[in-house]
Amino acid sequence: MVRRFPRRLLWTLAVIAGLLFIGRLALNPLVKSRTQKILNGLQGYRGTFEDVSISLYKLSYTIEGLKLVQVPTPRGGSEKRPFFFANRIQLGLHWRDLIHKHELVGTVELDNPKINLIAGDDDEANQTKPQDPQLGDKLKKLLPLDVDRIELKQAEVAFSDDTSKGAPAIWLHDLDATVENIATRVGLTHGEPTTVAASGTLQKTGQVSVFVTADPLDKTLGFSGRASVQGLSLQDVGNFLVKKADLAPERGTIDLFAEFDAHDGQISGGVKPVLKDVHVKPAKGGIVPAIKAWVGDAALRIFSDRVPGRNAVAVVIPMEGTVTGPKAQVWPTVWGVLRNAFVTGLESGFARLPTAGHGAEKGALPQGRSKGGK
Amino acid sequence: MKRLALLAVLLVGCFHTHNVEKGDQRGGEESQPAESEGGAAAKPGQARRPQKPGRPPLAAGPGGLFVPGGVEQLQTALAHKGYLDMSQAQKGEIDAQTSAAVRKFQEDQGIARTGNPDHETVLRLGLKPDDLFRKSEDTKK
Repeated sequence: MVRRFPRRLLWTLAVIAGLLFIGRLALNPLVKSRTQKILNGLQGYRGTFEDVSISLYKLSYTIEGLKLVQVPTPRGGSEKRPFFFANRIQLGLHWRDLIHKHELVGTVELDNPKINLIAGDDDEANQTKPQDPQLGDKLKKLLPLDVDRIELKQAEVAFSDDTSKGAPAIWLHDLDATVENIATRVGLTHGEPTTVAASGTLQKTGQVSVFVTADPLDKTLGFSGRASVQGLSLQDVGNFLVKKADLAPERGTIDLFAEFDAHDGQISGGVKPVLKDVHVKPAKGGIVPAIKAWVGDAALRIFSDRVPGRNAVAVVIPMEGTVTGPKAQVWPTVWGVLRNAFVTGLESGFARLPTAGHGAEKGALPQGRSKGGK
Repeated sequence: MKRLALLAVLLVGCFHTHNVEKGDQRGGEESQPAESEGGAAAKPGQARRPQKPGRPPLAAGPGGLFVPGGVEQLQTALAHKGYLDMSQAQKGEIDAQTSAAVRKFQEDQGIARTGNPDHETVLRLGLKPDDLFRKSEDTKK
């Protein structure tokens, strides 16, 4: 009797181990099937991936080669320019929070994610925003956890405007970013704000840095932060300037510094563009653009600080705006402020040049208007 | 009238020239619009505006999220690991040197290189985020 008991125990353990082994083998195919099912449920996208795996040791889910192609494919888009692609996405459970705070929260790490935004003439040709309004919610089904931290490594955002010839293209790359303390309920905030930090390269030369803190549960919108682009060659944004001011930069750089703050629906802040060693030429032939370019250069000389080799020009443009309405959301507003600061800063750097084409602000956030610099 | 306008333009030009030089002297992280210019806080290490009761603190720069003495702890940890030369950095401020040291540390750790000392970075430096970062008043209680 004494001898039988260990043998029975051994058999039981062996069966359990066998079942676990079989279960582990079956886990990845099951997860693959579920992932494909979720991707098939996306509206307006064809979702594919190369591999999916589960790690029981790390308690993580990893998807490799995820690609979302807009369907129907826009004229400017193709398999080579999918709406979204990522080499690797890993969703993992936060061990520390599980042990110390008894919370089931996770982190998401994205390696080499890329978003291709394409502006087209009509809705079918556009690839600028998610086709499926529930895209985020559906993808969240891949691992239903409260996500506390998102980390992007070597990310890329490409924007091209296919609506005009010589389309302006914006390319943000080598981008590393983190979003921390993402809270959907008070208990998860731990009394700290959501923090976004990013660092990357704009076009070939501009060094981008962004820092934003936000109170995600403040219904009146509360956020504060700053952003900068330093050393951006004006030739890198030549198409943009040609479209805006009929001027083609021959040389020179621009630095943009922006700070902003929002509380109780009021947005305030400033953008400081600093032009250095700028020389422009007319974008089109003819006497009028030539005069514009000449006067433009003259204006730059008047305002330059005359430091040899630098010739910097700077001005600060205050920004202010009001956000009202119960549907106002913090992150779209932050994105709008950042975009507005960049466009306003770039435009206003040239605002004192007597050029045409400075009518309505393009891409400006309706509620966050610039007060000066025009 | 035209001469007056030209004079005004030149004066504005001189004013901006002065600001550019001041901005460049501050250099890097500090080259932000000053408070008087409608932009940044006068003290970069501080939160930009008073904290609302019961709400988390917000700040325009990373330094504003730390408790008093928190940035020094971070700088000391970076210095101990050989990432920061304390004689080059401004004590108690996340200046360009500190930010570059954080970025190098993040790169070596294989985490996102933002230059911002976030929770994950602070943890990997062997520090406790709960001791370093400011919180809403009700959480402290």
